[in-house]
Amino acid sequence: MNRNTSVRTIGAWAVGLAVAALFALTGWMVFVFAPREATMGDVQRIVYLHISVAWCSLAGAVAMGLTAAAYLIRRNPAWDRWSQAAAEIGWLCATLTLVTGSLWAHKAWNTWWTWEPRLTAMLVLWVVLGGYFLLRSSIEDVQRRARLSAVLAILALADIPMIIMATRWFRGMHPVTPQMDPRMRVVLLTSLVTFTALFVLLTVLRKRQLDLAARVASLEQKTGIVT
Amino acid sequence: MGTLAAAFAITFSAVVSYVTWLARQHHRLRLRLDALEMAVGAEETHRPKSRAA
Repeated sequence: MNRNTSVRTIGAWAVGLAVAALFALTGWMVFVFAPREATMGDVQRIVYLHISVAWCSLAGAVAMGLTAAAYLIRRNPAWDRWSQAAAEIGWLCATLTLVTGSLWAHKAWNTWWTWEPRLTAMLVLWVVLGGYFLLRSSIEDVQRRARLSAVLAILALADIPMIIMATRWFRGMHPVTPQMDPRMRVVLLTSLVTFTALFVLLTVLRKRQLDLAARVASLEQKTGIVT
Repeated sequence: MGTLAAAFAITFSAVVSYVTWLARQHHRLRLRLDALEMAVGAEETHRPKSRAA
């Protein structure tokens, strides 16, 4: 391991510990500091988690689309790896958004699922991201794979305004401007910052890993040693 | 309270599973890279000798 790699590893551990500390703080704020909501009780605390993972899934999709566009302009494979990394974390967060939202809906709306505009738009994003991975795994040629998946990633961007504006455009069940106690807003903001930090950390780590995998693939090609 | 616990447990386990998978993949790739770099290094040190011969 060279000096650069050691510094990077120590840096990743330091940032990882800082994110873990942020999570401990967020946990305390969600369960202790945040006031109990009068109507829904403790279940309302899901909202801090649900909004944060939903925000990260949108950030992941936007990052995926923008880096895909950068790949198509520059043709630098590093942009394709950024796009893949952002898509993976975005998909993970989209899954968690649907799961936590479903748990919330069961308590608040008495149903696990409803074809409400925002829910449907989020499901579309989840399916498109799943399709993105299927597309990537079905193409052998590296450049063709990067090019086609970049096109799909840019197309996926069209769903983002639908998710954000669904409640305004189609009158769904999600509140348009939710009313919150000031302390609840502080907790939500802290949770958003924490999950954003986790999102950035995981995306950077995954991108580095994809760089490593590309180096391994290039050496395998060079040496002819393939396992 | 059960619903709240389920939401947090699912999120926590998903993140931990992903981080664990990342760490395992990273370890596997590092080992593979080291082995390949050794193979390339051995090939390069061997080449001048064979040319001299």
